[in-house]
Amino acid sequence: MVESFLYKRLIQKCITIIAVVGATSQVPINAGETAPEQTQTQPLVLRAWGVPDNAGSDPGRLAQLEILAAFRKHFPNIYPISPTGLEIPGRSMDIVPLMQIAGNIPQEVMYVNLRQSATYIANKFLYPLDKYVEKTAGVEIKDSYLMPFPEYLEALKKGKNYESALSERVTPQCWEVMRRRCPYGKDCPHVKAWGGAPVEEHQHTWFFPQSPEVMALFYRKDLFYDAGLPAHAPKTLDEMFDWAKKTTNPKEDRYGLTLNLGEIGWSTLNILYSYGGRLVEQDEKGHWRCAFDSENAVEAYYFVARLFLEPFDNKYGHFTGVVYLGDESTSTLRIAMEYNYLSSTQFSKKDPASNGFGPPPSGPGGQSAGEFNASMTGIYAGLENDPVKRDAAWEYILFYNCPEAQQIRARVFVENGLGQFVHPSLLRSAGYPEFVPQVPQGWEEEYHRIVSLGVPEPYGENTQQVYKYASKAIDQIRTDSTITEAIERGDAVAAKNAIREILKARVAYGNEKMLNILPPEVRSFRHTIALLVAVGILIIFSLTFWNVFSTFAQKGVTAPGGWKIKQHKWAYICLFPAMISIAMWDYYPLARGTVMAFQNYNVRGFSDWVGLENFASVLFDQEFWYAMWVSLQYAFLSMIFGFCAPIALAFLLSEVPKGKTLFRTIYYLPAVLSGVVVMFLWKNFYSPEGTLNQLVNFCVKVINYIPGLHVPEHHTAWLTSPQAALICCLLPTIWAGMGPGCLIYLAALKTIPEEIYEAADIDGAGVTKKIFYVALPSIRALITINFIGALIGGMKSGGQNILVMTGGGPYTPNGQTEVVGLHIYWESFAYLRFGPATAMAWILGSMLIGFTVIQLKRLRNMEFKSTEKV
Amino acid sequence: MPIISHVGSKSIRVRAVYGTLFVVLLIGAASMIYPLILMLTGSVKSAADCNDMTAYPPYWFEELPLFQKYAESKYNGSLDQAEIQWGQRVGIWDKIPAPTKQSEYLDDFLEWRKDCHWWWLGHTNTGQFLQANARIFRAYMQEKYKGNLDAFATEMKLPVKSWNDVRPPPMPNPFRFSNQDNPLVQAFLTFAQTRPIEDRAIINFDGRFTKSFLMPTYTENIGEYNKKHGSAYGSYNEILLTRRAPASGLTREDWDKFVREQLSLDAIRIDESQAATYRTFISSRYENIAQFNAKFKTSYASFNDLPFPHIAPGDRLSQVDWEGFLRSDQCPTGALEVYGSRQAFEEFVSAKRGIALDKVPPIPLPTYEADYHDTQVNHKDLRWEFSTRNYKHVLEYVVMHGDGVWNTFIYCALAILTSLIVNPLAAYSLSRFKPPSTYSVLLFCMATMAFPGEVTMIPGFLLKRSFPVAALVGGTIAFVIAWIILGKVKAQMQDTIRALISLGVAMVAGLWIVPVLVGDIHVSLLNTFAALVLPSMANGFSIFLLKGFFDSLPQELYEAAEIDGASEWTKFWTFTMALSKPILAVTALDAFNGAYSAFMVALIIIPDQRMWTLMVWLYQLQSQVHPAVVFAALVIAAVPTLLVFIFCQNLIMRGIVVPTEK
Repeated sequence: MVESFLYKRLIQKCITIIAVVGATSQVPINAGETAPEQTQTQPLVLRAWGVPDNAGSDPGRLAQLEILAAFRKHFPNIYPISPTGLEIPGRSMDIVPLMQIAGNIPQEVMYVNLRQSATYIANKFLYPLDKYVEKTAGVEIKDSYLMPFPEYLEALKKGKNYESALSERVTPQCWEVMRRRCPYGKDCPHVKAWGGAPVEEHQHTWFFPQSPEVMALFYRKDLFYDAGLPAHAPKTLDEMFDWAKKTTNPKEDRYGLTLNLGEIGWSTLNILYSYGGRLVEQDEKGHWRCAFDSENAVEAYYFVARLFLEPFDNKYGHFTGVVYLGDESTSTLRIAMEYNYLSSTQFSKKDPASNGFGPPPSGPGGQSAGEFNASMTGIYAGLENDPVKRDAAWEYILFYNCPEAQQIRARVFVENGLGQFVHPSLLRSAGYPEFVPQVPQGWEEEYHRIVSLGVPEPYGENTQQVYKYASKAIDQIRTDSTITEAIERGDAVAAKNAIREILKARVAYGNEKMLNILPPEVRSFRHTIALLVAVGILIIFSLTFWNVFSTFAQKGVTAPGGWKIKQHKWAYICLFPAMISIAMWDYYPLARGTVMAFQNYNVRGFSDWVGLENFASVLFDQEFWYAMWVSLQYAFLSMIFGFCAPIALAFLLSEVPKGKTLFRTIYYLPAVLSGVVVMFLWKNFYSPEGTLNQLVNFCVKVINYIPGLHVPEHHTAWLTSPQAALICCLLPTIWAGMGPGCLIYLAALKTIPEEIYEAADIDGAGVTKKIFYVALPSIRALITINFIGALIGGMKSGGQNILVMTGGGPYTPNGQTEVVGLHIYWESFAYLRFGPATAMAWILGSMLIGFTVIQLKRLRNMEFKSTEKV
Repeated sequence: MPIISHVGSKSIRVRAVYGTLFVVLLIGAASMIYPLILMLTGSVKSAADCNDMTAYPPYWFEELPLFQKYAESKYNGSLDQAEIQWGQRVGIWDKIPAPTKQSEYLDDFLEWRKDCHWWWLGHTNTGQFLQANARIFRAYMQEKYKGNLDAFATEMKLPVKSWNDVRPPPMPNPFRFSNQDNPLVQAFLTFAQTRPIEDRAIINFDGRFTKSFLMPTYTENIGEYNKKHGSAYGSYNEILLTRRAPASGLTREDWDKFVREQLSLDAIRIDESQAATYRTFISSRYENIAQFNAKFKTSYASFNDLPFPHIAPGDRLSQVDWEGFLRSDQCPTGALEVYGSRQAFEEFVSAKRGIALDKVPPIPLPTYEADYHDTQVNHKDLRWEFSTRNYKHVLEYVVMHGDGVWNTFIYCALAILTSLIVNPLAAYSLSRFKPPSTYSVLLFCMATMAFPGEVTMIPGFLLKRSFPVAALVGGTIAFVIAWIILGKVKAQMQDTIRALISLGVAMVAGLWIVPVLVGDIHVSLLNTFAALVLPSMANGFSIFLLKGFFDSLPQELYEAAEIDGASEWTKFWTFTMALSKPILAVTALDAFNGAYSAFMVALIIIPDQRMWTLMVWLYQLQSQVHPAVVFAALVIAAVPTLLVFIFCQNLIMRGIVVPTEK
């Protein structure tokens, strides 16, 4: 019975598979949706951001489902579907929209956050919304694209629907983000389509804001209670610091504050803003420049440095720093305060029962400015020739956060016990006044004040990297020994001087990168060098291949005269599937990717040729060479530990008289966890309260039993320590790879005939001698091959794992764990600089190809034997 | 064990060496296992005890940690709820103390609570954990609707898309209006009746008064409260919500404001004397009785006929009017009476013990003691539930996405199958026929290893997105034709040149002629197993290893077969493949591991959830649940890999090939 059922199922599935394989690209990629029901008119399938998928069950998602249902009621012909299902938290998400655009299955209603906005505009991903906005406002503005912004807004305000439809939803800060320079310049197809005459400098509206998000300070009620603090958020930054000190107790895994260390430039933004500092400022020419070296910024970062470095006493003991130095996701952790967005996404993440919130604490000037952000939506540029779908997309954008949708959202949140997080005015209008008293007192006024004071996060051209520069500066500040000592002494002047210097240097570097202004002679010099290098790479490759082919041809036995295809017809036919597969999936993408190295690549197809520009910029990119250096270190460490550990283990296992299989199984156990999982597991161990420190502290305790000795306990954050981070990133791979890795050596050791050892015995050789003169030479071939393999692997890999562990930091001032693979990843997917990324890959590849050739040559002289013994 | 000499193996020195060996291996083994044990322990924990980094969960053996976990579960992870229902502050889950003294009314309370109707079912959270009653509720609904989600969705008026979305309604907070109009709430309340009495969280209105009204108004410092009220309370726990409004002063204002604006309607009574005022109030809300009748589908002749609801009516519409009256000035404070759980309990005590009601002292509800009592009584069940809860959560999730398991199976099977066909075939042809180009072919297979994979991500994806069938087929056909024609025309031509020319022809045909003639036919491999399986089908290193292994097979065998007239197929299948089972097992294992653990691919190339594999689903789960549940998911995900290793261990060991110099 069961079998026949399985059979049926199998056959069914196979049919499905075949059907799906055969399906052509015309079928819309719809995520788990059943096909839209056939109505009289063709339903319009719209891939839209914000359409909930089939997974997850938080209230936010339920609300989205209901809003979608309401939208469908209004527009039965539009059928929004979710463009992708899986949401992976963290930075891997950056890839998805890109891939979708590249693959021509983009979100047609796109989500853009402020910091990506410039990239999205520059890459021509978006369709200008001018006409839609004007239509919604109920006004027609001629040649609006030429108008300076204030004038444009005035013209819009004349529209009869402006007050009702736009003024509430688009706050003043939004406008400066929405209205931006057009990347098409004189060739603007949109202006032409509207019947205008494009000029080089003109502006369009690119986005429409959905919910504005402002920063709030969240606090844990239980920790505040335990520390005897009142149940509201601190009012000033000094108060916040003071309360953080009172709640910090690393002994019980409690910390006063968490700041996202991976992007600390972003997570300290509120502090910077509250001190009146800015990350970037627009100069008179309209170029964005780094500005985080102002006096206000120095003060702000001095405050940040104190958060990390200032020693203090509280009722639990003597500690240094209130900031948690690990990854907040650790389960064992309790953090009293945290900055986070107050928005529709926040609702589902924080439990209102155990968390309270308040406005961001104010700085010394009494101002409490938080970061302002907004989920921006735009229409994908690919719809420019599909007005019907474009209109549908606009309807979706408008509906997404319209009053009706907001009320639905409010209702669902209230029904799901999250009434406390709904905006009071919305609670009243949705008919839930009884929940208003639950909202923290005074929050409503605060909220409006914060929205009006909120400073948008950097969004201008080339500013997407400014967080990186600021992050590096802060990393450097908090690991600088002069500053550490000055803060320990309480010497504010000295600390601020050192901070000022670091900031000045970082800002200068950042501006050079952002504005990218090079004198022509430097530029031509760089191009010459790039040309030489490119030629060099070409020569290296030709030489190696020629070398390999000629050596192999000589040794390739038999007569010359080519491949003898006729004679070996069957051989080639059998080889065909493998060859075509490798050519198809390895060489073709490599070749197609290589073209990018000479292009200013644009995934939508607006790539232009830049010659050797990419090579020129990469070769003089100090960060790239530092990444190269880190990769070398990583490869070196993985040679020492990752390569040697399995060999040593194999020796131990082959010598142990009893329990060999048991030990072998135990050492293999970690390998049953898949790669990334191992990384997440170890990440927890490295945290300040993690297992590693527990072990260290256990030893410390033992040592402290010796009279006269007193060693303090350790709460090192291993992954943020410049000295330890790299090896910490490597350890998990060794842990997981040791067991499987040793198997092959174990097998090899068994092939050594016992007689040789006996002979050595008779000669009176000791254990060391037997290892070095008998055993190791016997398995030399294996060791050499694996050595080269490990070297190549060490140089080019590590990227994905380190991404999970540290993301490349700590930056002191260069990324201590940013290996080349990771650097390439950042360049291509976070900053969309595919050209330089490919150039880097080629430079690395040309360095490694030699090793591959050596490996191949060695392998040619070897034969493979199975050990056939258990 | 040949390195350490057998001779004199009993000597102290040799024993010492063995001893050291064992110690080193044991320490190593411990460091291998310890993280895994922490993972296992972590997988049976929850928010209340995850801080504890012990190698075993403390609640297995101790009572207090069990009670803390129980409280966390019962009050759905909400400290606020626990504090309200207990009427006292506890602050932090893992510091909740055991009750110091037994309340003398505990037994009465345990008896009374069976009939108390101010309660809400506990253990119903579905956020970070899937707690017992939420899980059972889901199963209950599934059974009720026979697994028909659409029927459920229509009846409940919920746009749910999977049973995963089906969860108990959260406890209304504040508990002011009844939400019994909601079909889900009705279904849930029916369900709740079937659950054990001790799962009910009895609503404590005194706790609500202090915690959600007095504390926010007068700060948490009782001193502040005392100063303003001229009272001398030791803590907020002592303040109770009196039945009638206090005589005068600030306490009366507090009482009035709380009762009128926040207290649950079903704990309020309005004296019958207010009937006339009520009718006047209602008539002021509606233009005429017809409007009223239309709204409530009633048929009163005039407002004077309206019945006066002494306690709040059951439906939300009428409740809104009733609440409006309660809030209005027309309803005097003196006419209000609080009749909630404590008042009912006091009446019960009075009746049971035969004491006059006004002689019964105010009895704070012993909910806290009762919960501790329940923990002690049910400790076995609770320990079992808490130890298995996270696993049940993950397994339910997996079962709910049963297609994921099936997809994983298919994907792994296909990956193993293709890699077991393509690679051995290539290796066999190189090993058996020894074409002169062998090393060129091997170099071709392995040269791309030197390049970091990031470069090929986008082009590789584009290829999957539009797989050029026409070009590929056309090119291949053109290649073959060119090859044959060249052979006919110029028989003496060198193979290399012939191949190159044919390749050129094929490229021209595939990239230009075919698209022009038949159109650029592309097939999207996205959302197909092909996109997962094809790219990793051939593996250069695998071919290389297999070739090496095939080379090492005894040549005599093939010679003998040749003499017997065995076909090439027999030689390949019956000899070579049969003799290479172990190494094929290793190849298969690699393919399995690769396919089983891949999840990032799904992000981009498999957006369709119907095609997701188990790993993808588990990864999806990870972003929603508590780390303890994630640990449980990891343990479950590791089981297949572990089983494969344990059972195939010996096979794998035999399949390892070791290179030696010729």
